[in-house]
Amino acid sequence: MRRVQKKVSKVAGRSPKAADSARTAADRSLREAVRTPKAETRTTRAKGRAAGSGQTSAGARRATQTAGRAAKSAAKSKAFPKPAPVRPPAKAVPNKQTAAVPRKPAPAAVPPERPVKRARSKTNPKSGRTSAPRKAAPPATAAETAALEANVIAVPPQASTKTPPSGASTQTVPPGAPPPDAPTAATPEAESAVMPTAAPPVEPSPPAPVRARRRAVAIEDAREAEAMRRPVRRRTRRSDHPSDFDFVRLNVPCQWACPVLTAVPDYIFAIAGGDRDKSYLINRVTNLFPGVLGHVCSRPCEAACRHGEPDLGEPVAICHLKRVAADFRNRDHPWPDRLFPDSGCTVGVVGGGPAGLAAAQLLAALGHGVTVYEAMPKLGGMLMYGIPVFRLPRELVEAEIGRFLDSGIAVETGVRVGRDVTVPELLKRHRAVVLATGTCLARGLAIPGGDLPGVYSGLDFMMDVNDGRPPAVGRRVVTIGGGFTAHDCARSALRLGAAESYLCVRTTEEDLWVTREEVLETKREGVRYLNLVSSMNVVGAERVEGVAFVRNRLGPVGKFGQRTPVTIEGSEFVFPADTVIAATGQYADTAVAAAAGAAAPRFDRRSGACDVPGLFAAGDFCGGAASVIEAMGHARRVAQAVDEYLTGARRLRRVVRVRPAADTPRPRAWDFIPRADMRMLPVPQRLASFGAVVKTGLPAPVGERESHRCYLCNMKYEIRPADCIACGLCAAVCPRDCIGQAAAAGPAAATVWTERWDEAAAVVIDSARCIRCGLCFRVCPTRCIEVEQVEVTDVAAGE
Amino acid sequence: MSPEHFVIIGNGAAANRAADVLRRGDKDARITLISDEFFHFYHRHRLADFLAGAAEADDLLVRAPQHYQKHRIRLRLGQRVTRIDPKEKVLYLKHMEKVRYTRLLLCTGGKPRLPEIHYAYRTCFTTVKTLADARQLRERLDGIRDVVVVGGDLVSVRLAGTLVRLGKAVTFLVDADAFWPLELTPEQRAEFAERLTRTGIAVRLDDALTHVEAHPSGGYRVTTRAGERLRADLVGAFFGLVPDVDFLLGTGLDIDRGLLVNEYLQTNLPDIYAAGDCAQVYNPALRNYWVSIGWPNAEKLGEVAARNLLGQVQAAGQAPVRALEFEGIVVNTCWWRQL
Repeated sequence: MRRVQKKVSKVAGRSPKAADSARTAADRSLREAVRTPKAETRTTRAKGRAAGSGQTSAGARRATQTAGRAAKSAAKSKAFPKPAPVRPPAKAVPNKQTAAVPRKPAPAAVPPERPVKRARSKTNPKSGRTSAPRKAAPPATAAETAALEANVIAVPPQASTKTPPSGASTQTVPPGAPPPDAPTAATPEAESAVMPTAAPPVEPSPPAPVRARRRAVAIEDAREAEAMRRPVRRRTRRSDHPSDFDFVRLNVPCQWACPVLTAVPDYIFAIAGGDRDKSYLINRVTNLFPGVLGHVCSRPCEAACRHGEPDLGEPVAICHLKRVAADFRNRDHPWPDRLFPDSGCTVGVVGGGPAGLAAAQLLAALGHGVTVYEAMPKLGGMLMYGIPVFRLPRELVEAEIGRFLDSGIAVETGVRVGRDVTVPELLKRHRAVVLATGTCLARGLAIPGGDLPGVYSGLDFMMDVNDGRPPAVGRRVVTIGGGFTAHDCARSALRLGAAESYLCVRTTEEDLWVTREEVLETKREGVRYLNLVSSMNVVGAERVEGVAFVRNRLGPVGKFGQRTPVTIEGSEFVFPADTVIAATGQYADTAVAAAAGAAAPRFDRRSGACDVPGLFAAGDFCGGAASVIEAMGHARRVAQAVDEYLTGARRLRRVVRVRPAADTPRPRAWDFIPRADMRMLPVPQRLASFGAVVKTGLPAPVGERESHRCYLCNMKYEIRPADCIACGLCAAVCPRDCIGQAAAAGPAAATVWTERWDEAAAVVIDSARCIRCGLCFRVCPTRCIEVEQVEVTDVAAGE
Repeated sequence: MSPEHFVIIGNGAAANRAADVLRRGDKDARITLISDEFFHFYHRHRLADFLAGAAEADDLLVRAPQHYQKHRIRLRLGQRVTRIDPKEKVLYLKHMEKVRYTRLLLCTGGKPRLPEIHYAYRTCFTTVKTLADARQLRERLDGIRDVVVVGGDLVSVRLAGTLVRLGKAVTFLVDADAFWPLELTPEQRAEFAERLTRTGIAVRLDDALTHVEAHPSGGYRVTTRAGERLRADLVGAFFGLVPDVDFLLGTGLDIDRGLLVNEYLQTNLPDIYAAGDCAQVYNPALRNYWVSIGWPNAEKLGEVAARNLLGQVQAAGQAPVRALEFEGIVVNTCWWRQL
C-alpha cells in the first residue's frame, strides 16, 4: 500500500495523507455514480453537482460530460431501460469559497469557435463511463446543450462566455452573482437541484466533503491529462496472432467448443435485446440449421459453459436459446450473398445430409457451382430418416432445407451413387467431388444368435420407423448400445407398444455420448438402464427369448476419454427379452469410393482429401459416426480444402475480431437467475402419439430471461499495467477472486501468480475465471481496465 | 513410522461404527471424521419427533459428544469435502484446507431420491433427510395448513402421522411404484391405505402426482392423475435415498449409481474404501452389484470396511436375505420391514 500512496500523492500533488483521503473521496464519488441504477438519476445528480456546487471548471466539465454521456449512452442502449428525457439543468449560486480561492487559474473566456464539449466514442449504458479515446465533437443533444449551460455558470471569478454550438444563446455571467434567470437557493426548484454538500460554507475552511471532492477533481484532471497523452488504441482489429486464439480457446469456452465456432455469446446477447432475427442470423453464419440444432444438438458448448463451473450454478441453456431464436424469428430471412464471384468450377456433393448440405452451402458461398446428389426422395439424411419425429419435427427440417434450396444450389434426389452413377463419372462431370454419405450401414450384433427373428439393427429399426413402416415389437424390448440411436430405439419401442424397454450399456451413464437431458427424458418415459453389462449371445430357439450378458467393472480410460469395460469372470446371466435391438454402431459404405480407382482410398481426417485427385470426404463418412454439429463442422473444413484445391489459394482466413466495448450491461443479479427448464410434453401424451414432439420449446419471455444468464465471456477485461496504481480496489470487489498479482506478464496460459508485493510485475485479471461482472471496471479509480469483445470468425483472405 | 491417519467422510451409522472398530484395532492411529452437517451423530428416524416438538435436537443424539474426545476421534463438523487427490492422498475441503490421509473411507450416505418423472417439479418439493431440513420445516410449520405427501418410505409415513397430530390436513397419494424400492401388491397397498386412514390421513389410493406448480398467492397447486386439484402449503416428496456421490465424479473413482466396490468394499483406487448407503457392492453369489439401504446394513458394512482398512480381509457377506431388484440393481433394504 505504500507504493499506492506514493503514486496517488504524486498524482494529486499533495501529501500522502491528503492524497489518501482524496483517493477515498474519489472512489466514493465514483462508486456513487456507478451504484446509481438508472442513467436518469445519474444525469440529474451530475448536473446538479455541476450547477449547484459552483465548482471549478474541471469539476463542472467532468459533471457535464458525465451528464451528457449518460444521456447519450442511454439513448444508444436498446436492450435495457431507457432513461426519461433529460430536464434542463437548474442554475445556482456559485460557490463563494471556490470563487475566492480558485484551485487553479480558470479560463477567462472560451473562444466561440472552440469545441468546448468532447464526446467519447463508446459509453457504458450503466455507468456512463468509458475508456475510449475522446474525439472532439460538438454536443448535439438537448442534454448536452443543457449541461453546457451549467458549465458556463460554473466558471468564476471572471465573466466567461461560451457559445453552445447547437443554437443555445451566449450568456455572460458576472462574477459572484447569480444569473438573472437562475433560480435562487431559496426557491424549491433550486433546493431540489442543488446538492446538499454544495451549500456555500460559512466557515473560512471548506467542509471535509468539499475538500475531498476538490482533491478528487485534481485526480480527475490528472487522469484526463494522462488520457490525452495516451495513444489511441481502441479500434476494431482482426488478429491472427496465436495469443488471441489462445485467449478465445481459454476464455470463450462455448464458442471454442462448438465444431462450427458459432458466436454463442453474440447470439445470446441478441436475444437479450429482443432481436431474435439477428440472433438467428448470427447462428446461421456458420450453422446452416439453427432451428434443427435447437432441437437435436449434442451441445458441446453447454458442457464447456462457464456458468456450469462449481459454485456458479448450471450452464446457460444455449441450445434452448438457439431454438428460441429459430421459433420466434421472422421467416423470410435473406440468404447471405456469395463471398466471391463465380469461379467457373463445379463441385458434386454426394449425400444430402447435414454434412453434405453444410459443405454445399460453403462451396456455393465461395463461388463454385454445386450439385447435391441424394439417394433418398428427400434431402436431410439422418435429420429426415434417422432421428425420430418426436425429437425433431419434419416440417422444421423441410423449412430450413427449403430456405437453403432457394439459394440456387442444384439438387438431384433419388440418385444413388454406385448404382445410378459412379464416382469416376462424377469426377468427370465436376472438378471435385465430396463424399458425404454418412454412416449408413449398421454394424449389427456380431454375437451368436444375432440373426434370430426379433433381432433388429438400430439404424434399420429407426429408418423403418421414420419411413412409416415400424417393425413389430414384443412386450419386453432390450436395446443394446448407449448412443443417440440406441436411445431413439428404446424410446420408440415404448411408443410402438412395448410394456418394458431396457437400455443395456457396457459402462455407466457418465460415459454416454448423449446429453444428460436426453438420459433424463429417456428415464422419464420409463426406459430402464442396465449398466455395466456386455452382451454375449442372444438366447432363443426359433426367435428371441433373451440375451445372455456378463457383468463388467470399469477399466482404464480409453482413447476417447471414456472408461473401458472389463468383464467380471463368472458373472454371466440371462436377461429375458421379446425383442432385441442392436444399436452398437454404424459405419460408412466406402465401396462407392473404392470404385474411384484406388483400391482402398484413405482419407485425411482433417482435410477430407484422399489420394484420388479431386475426391474428398466429409462428415461421418470420413471420421465415423458423430453428432450433427460435428459432421457440419467437419464439412466446413473440407469445403475450404476443396476450395483450396480448386483455386490454389486459401481464400478464407480464420481471425479473431477484437472490438472495443463498453462495460457489461449485465447487473450482478442476473448471475443468480436459475436455469430455465425446457417445456416438455407430459409423458402420457408423448406415448399416445408417435409424432408428438416432446420438447415444446421455451416461451419468448422465458428465453429472454434465460439469455440474461450468459456471462458474455467474449468480453475481455484487461488491466493496462502502465495506468494501474495497484490500489487493490478491483481485487476487493471481485466476487470470484480472479484478480491477482502476476510475477511475469505473458500469455494467458503462462501467467505466474504471486502473493508477494515485491515480486509482482502487474495486477492481472484471470480471464479463465472471470465471470465478466464488470465490478472491477466500475471501481477502478484510474480507469485502467480496458474492455474489448473478441470473436473467432472466418473472413475472406483479401479483406 | 508415523501412525496411520484414517479419514472417514461421513458421520452416519457406517462412519461411526467404522471409527469405533478402527480405534479398537489401532490404538495409535489418527482418526478423523469429516461431515458437512453441523450436528453430531443423531437418529435420523426420530426426526419426526423433533418436528412434532416431542424431542429436541439433543435428544436425537446417538452418543454423547465426549465419546469422540475419549476415543481420540477428531470430528470436523460442517466441513464439506470438495475434491480428492488420490495420488497425493489429500482431501480438499470447501474452505480451501487440505487434509492428508493414509487411508480413506467414504461413508457419504444417501440423498433424497427424486424420480425422473418428477424432476421438473424439484423446486416445489420438500424433503426431510437431515436435521437441518427438519429444523427448516419446523420453523415453517405454523404457516402450513394443507400438506400433500407423495412417495412412500418410512420417513413419509412417520412425518404424515406427526403432521396430522399437529392438526394439519394431510393428503397421502399412494401409488404402485411409489414405495421405492418395493412394489407393493394391490392388497398390500389397500392394507397400507387402511392403516393410514385410521390415523386421520386422507389417502388417495392408486393416484399419483402429475403436475405441481407454485401459486402466485403462495402455496402450491397439485394435480393428480385422477384429475383432482389439491391446494397445498407443503408438498413432501419421499422416494427413498440414492447414493450421494456426485462430488466424487472426476476423482477417478468408479461410480455407477453408487461407488463401485468389490466384496471387500475396496474402490478402484488404492487405500480408498466405501461403506454404507453410498457403496454399490459387487456380490459374486448374486452375480450383481447391490446397494444397501438402512441403519443395520450401514453398520455392518462400516464394520467390514474398518476391518479391511486395518489390514484384515473380510468380505461384505453373502447374498442379502431380503434383497430386491430395482432398475437392474439389487437393493438390500431393511427399513421397509418397519412399515
